[in-house]
Amino acid sequence: MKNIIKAQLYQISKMRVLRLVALGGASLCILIGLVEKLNGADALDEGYLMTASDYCTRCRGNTIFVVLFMSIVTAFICADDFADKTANHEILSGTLRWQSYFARAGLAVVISTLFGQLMIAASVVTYTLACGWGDTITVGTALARLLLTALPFMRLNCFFVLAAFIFKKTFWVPILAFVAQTVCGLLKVGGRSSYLTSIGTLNRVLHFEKWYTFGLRNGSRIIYEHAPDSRTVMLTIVSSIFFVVLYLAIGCSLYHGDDLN
Amino acid sequence: MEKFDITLIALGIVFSIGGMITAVHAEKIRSCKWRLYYLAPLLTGIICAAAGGFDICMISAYIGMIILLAGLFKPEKKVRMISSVTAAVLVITALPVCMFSGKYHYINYEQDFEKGFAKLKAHYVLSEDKEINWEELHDKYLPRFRSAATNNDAAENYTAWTQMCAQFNDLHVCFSADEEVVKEAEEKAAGNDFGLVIATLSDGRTVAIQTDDTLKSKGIHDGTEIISWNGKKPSEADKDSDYYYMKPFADIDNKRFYEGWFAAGTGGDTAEVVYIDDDGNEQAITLSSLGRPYIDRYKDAYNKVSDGLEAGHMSFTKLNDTTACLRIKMMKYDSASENKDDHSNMKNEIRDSVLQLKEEGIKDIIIDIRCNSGGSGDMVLNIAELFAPEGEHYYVTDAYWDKETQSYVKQQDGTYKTDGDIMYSGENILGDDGRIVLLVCDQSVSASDHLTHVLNDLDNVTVIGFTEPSGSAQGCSMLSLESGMMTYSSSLMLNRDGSIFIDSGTDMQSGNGVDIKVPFDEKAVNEIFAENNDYLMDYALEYLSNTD
Repeated sequence: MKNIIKAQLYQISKMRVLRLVALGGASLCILIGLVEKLNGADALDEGYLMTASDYCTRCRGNTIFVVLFMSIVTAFICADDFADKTANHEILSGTLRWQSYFARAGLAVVISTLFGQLMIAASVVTYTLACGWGDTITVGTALARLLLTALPFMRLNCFFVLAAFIFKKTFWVPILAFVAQTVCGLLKVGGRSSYLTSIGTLNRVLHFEKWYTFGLRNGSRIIYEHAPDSRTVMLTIVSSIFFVVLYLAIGCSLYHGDDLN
Repeated sequence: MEKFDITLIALGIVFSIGGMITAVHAEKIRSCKWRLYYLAPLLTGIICAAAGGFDICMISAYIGMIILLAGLFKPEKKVRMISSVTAAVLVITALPVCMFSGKYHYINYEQDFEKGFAKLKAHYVLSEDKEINWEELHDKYLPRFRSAATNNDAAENYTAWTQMCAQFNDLHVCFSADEEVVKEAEEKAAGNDFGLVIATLSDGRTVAIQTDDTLKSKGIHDGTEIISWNGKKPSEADKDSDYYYMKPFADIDNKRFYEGWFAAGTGGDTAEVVYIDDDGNEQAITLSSLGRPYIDRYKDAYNKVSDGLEAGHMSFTKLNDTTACLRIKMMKYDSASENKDDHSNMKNEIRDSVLQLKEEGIKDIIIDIRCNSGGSGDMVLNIAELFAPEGEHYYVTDAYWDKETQSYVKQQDGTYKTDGDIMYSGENILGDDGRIVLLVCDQSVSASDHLTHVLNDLDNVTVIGFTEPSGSAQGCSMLSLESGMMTYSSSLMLNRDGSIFIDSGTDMQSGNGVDIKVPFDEKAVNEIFAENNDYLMDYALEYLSNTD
């Protein structure tokens, strides 16, 4: 299994598509970080200035791109080896199926999750450099929320792993990611049901409860409640672990009995 | 049942039957792809549950969809057959459970209350000034919400919220729910209709109003003095009505005006009434319920006393040769005024209309803001600018918001730190001879409280009403809960000295008043209920003509 992971890491480092994906992701993050500056967010009147901390409170809209990029990374790590029959040769040369599966799945989940978090972090850093941090929320709050996104990201990536092992074709996984996000958007998943889907959980983690105060001369101020409540944290952890285990188990079972055709 | 739950149950049955067929078929045509079939129910189940909302009554259906996964992990005919049959049974079981359980799509009112109460406690801006005892309030109302949760009673939940909100003596603290729920709760709380409403006259006597024709033969008509209701003075009998505790008043004078109004719904199927007949003799009678809810009669009476001129919002109506009425039903005008606080269209239209009316001989304007539900403070500013005499005038003072502590700053003398006065320049479009009368009622709330306060400071304005305006003028926010929507005062508005603008403290005396409090007497009762006249409007016209 160690050798497969090493081989995968080598392959990832050499794969041109993944380099392009990384480059595309980085460019997109910088663009997202800069777009408000280019729109004049830093030139507004006092009280209306848009800063990186403001951006953090509404960055969940941008996770649609992050999820798509993660699906591409997972698809290439898990499904690309079916195209050139590398996976078949691995099995024929005596590698156990579960080793072949978990080496790819584990690596894909870790790398894609890191990639997703780095994408969000990169856009926040770019925004900070362009417009300053501001005082809407603290750095610690933003960091805590960002770290918590690792759980729904992992869950989502496990789902993509399952899809990659079912379809065995890289291009189907990003298509599925797009369809899943669209369906979740259309269904307006919320409340207690948020935790049934990874996209819903992700939205929940990045949702900042807020309230307003205002004056007649000073306009309104939005006050965000920094930390997610303990119920959200607990349900995020429990639901993510449950679905990570479920998706990986289903994927492993399917791969175990697969004729690799 | 919810459509997504029905879909889930229907698909669950289809998948279960399909699972059995696939189990047999997979024995004949061997392929690992058959296993994917047993994954589909799980994914379908997740989508349906996410879309329709997770519900505990559907739990057997969810388990059924998960059990079908056994066919994926163990691709054997026997396992697949057993799991499919089990899944079918479990999925079908969800149907009667949902249909007959009182907990289907159930809202936990206790949790909902805890959430709303915590937010209210954290963000209610007049907490100190009104000396709200949060612990006491929580302990008093929690059992009510617990009971509503146990009985899954939406109306009881609404009643509990409304009664708790009324304790703040702030009309900005209120709870709204579905129309049906509100109707049910109000009907239940207000009691039975016995054919009359009891109102208190300015001299303290309590009389029948909005009287049903069936009572006339018994000697009770509009204006008949009612001595007691079920052995109690009407103001005491009020306290037997649940609806009495649902009506909020910020000002004690307004509360006193409505003494007795809640009494005539109390009692069971009959009520013992003592009244003075037309010959001046005291009579006792037992009234039977008319089998209708009292709330309808109460609201009809209330509307007759309080509602404004029946005219379009922001429209001018010529009342006589020299007077016109501007009816303002809310402090919103168009999408630009509502969304961008751009009131230029409204201002231009009012200016043009007034100038046109002046050319037609109109000298005085009655601004009718009775039952005005409030809205934008900026709109108030723009209206005041039009009618105020030329020169600088003061409106209100913004409170200083401390970004560090995320709160307003209360100083040692009990006042708040201010952050600049709001001033405006008068245009005096009506001219020096023009006079303005402002008509208000106890439901002239929020921004209409502001308008009353601002115009009341001007020499050319007279404020007239049976009662004062509501006395609730802080900026408010909304909070969405599972069972409804709560609003509360969240933004401070101050006087120049840093004291609270308009809203009352523990004394229930608001900072808003009227120049002329019109007596609610026998003449008023007769004009309103017998003649169907707008007594307050007629009074204003008479006032203008007498002071010409």
